[in-house]
Amino acid sequence: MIDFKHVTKVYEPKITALKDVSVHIDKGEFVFVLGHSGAGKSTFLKLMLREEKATKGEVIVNGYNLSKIKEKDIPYMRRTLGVVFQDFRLIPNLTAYENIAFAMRVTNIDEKEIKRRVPYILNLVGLAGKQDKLPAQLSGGEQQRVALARALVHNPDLVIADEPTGNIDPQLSLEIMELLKAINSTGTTVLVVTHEHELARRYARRIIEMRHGVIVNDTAVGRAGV
Amino acid sequence: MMKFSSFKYLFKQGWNNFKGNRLMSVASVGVVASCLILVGICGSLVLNVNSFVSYLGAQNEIVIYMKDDASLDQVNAINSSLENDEDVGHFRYVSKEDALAEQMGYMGQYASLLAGYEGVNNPLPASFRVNLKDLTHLEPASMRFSSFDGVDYVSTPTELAGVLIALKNVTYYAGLAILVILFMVSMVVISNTIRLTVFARRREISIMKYVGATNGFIRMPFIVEGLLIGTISALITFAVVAGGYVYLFNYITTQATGFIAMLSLCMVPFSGIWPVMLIGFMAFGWLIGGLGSALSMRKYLKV
Ligand SMILES: Nc1ncnc2c1ncn2[C@@H]1O[C@H](COP(=O)(O)OP(=O)(O)OP(=O)(O)O)[C@@H](O)[C@H]1O
Ligand SMILES: [Mg+2]
Repeated sequence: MIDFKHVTKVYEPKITALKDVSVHIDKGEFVFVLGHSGAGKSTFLKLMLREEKATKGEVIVNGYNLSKIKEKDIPYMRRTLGVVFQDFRLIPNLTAYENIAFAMRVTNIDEKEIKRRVPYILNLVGLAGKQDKLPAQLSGGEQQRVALARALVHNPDLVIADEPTGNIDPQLSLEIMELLKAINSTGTTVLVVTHEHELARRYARRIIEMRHGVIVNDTAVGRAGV
Repeated sequence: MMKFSSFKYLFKQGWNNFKGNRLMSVASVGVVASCLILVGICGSLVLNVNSFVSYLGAQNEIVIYMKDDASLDQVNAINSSLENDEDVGHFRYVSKEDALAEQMGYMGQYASLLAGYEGVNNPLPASFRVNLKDLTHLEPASMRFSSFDGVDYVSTPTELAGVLIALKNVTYYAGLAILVILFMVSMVVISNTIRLTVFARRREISIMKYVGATNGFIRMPFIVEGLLIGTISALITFAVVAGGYVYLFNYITTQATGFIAMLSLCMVPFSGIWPVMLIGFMAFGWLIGGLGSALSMRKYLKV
């Protein structure tokens, strides 16, 4: 669940990236955030991750009020969501398996649980045979699926994908969208940030369109792709 | 709390940091150990100067000279006052007869010159010879003794005591200043080394932040790295300083002559100081390791 209440974000000295944005996203929704370069999409995500703090207004994510959250609670808030970055952000000297296990280890999860869960998730994203490959030995689409697998380790309530189709070819972007759809069908909220109208129209049930830091359109679309 | 597997993982990460940054790690162990060796030399010096000072101090007595007409009761009263005095290490009573005998002893073959002074003609006063536990209490103790009934005057080795106390203070404060300076130097070196590892791992650190690792967890491998540098430095230092100390101790106690040989009487044997030394080096190493790494991490935890 995501709730933005009259959120304004100003980057000092005076770039207003978001202007009085209010939006509510329910559990289980599949939402696209659409907008041109500089529209404020990444800022919107950074506020959700508490990488940036709202200048004005309130951001509530999975029950955490990010305007008031204590420093020590931020890691626990982040475990309730999974992010797939545009550049994947994998650790180059760790295998696919180890990259995913890494996210579990650094959050205090038992080795036994890791051994059980990593193969399961790898299988889920269709990488069963590639677990011992380094990121450089994987294609862009495969790397992205490792990143998606990593985002899923904590069984998040919310999965966020930033430009998931930006770094891979069109055929692969359809595959990743199908995966996200499957994840959404288990009740996980999925939020996809993109500038591709076509993709949004094809998969989204709801499109939030941003322009110059303002939401100019928020429409529920027909059940396309269902 | 933290699971054992996490602990093992973090320790391994710290060790990997240390190894991965090998050249800098070895260099910082070198610098930190050098600083620690200087600290060890200063510490040994301070310890031995203290021991020397207390040795000399123990050789020096306050002498309480009694009036010739002091009563036995007054002598007994002073005796019990000294017994109960906290500053007094030990003391003895020297009667007029003892004093004369002592004097005759000094004169050796000329002792017969004093023959006429025995009995009622004895000009030497009775006295208490008092050794204090702590020379810094010399003046107040001497004042106190002067006020006893039946005391003629009190002779106090003030000047020597002043020199000894000054010596003790100078070595103590110089030692402390050197300790503080070397502590800071070591900390800067360690924190710079770890800053390099942190920089090399900034990508991993940012990923850890995004997947929800706590700051404590992220910091841990770097603290382990710092503690490792501290520990290794401390152990090397201990070996070097211990070897040097034992060698010097043996040399002075068996080979040296003259004034140096006299020093050997009050040199602290190695068996008496090695636990303090080891604990001191370890504490120093761990403190700078821990603080140095915490210092180097601050910037990267703000995401
Ligand atoms: N850290 C920052 N400091 C200053 N200005 C920033 C910062 N981050 C973003 N901005 C500015 O805020 C505005 C919105 O940026 P944002 O990154 O949110 O856009 P975006 O929609 O993600 O664009 P893109 O599609 O190019 O990624 C832009 O004008 C950008 O220059
Ligand atoms: Mg962006």
